Amino acid sequence: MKWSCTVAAFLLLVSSSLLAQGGRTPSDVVDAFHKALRNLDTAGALSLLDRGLVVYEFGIVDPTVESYGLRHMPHDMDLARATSWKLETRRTGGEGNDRWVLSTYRVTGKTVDSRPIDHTTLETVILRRSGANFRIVHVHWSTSDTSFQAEIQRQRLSEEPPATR
Amino acid sequence: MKRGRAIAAASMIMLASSTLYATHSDIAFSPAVPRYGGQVTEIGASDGKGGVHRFRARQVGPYYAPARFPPGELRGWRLTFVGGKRFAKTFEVMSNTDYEFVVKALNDPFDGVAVNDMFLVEDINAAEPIK
Repeated sequence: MKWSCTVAAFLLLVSSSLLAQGGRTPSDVVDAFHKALRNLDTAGALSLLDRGLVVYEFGIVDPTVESYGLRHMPHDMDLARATSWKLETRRTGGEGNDRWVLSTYRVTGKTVDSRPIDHTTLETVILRRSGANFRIVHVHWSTSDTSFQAEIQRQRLSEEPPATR
Repeated sequence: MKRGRAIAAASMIMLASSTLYATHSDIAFSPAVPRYGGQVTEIGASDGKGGVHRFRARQVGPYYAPARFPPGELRGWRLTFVGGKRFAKTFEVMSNTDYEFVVKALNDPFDGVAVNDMFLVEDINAAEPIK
């Protein structure tokens, strides 16, 4: 009886801890971010990002969340909308307030001029607990398709920082 | 006759600008929705009637969009701040000129928006269903 009470109390503690985070594990946050991009949910995607976000994307650096949100997140929404991302592998780790999620995706679809896309995208996400939730502090994307990477890089380099326009 | 020419000219300009927006050769993927980036340049006063606010802004992208906000065409578009105190908060555009917006607060107050804050304004109703 005493043992079952202890187990019940432990389970209650764990579940209440998860509920306090909105029930979202670091993997859940990564999946929710992809879903928000695909659903064109700008506020939803931004709300999963830490204000100290830094993004390394296909060879381009977004040093601030404003830079990413204004210049490159819209492209990621367009990409997410036009392609299908199938999760192939995932590893998670970290402890305490700092966690990481490593994922590979099979990405398929077509470009605007109907060229097929079929490659593997590699994703490293670092998350930090912020209050009750984990938020993304770093994303690094790269791809196995060098020509696709070059095309995306050229497009994103076309976005000048707002201050220079 | 003059009116007919004016309408034809306006149609040509609209067609040219929409073509420019949609088929820039550097775009790998079509924009899922028409959108502009903006930066707040001046904050106006609230109209005192429940969360309608006026502010001025300059267009800061994306590179494939026309260089100025199209006057009167962003009504009903979704405006989301990507920085500042209202980070990730959304408002609805009630009216606009090429440099001025009137927006309505949806779930969050406009208070705290400051000069230099960045935002995205998107015609979310133009999104096609996911295939």
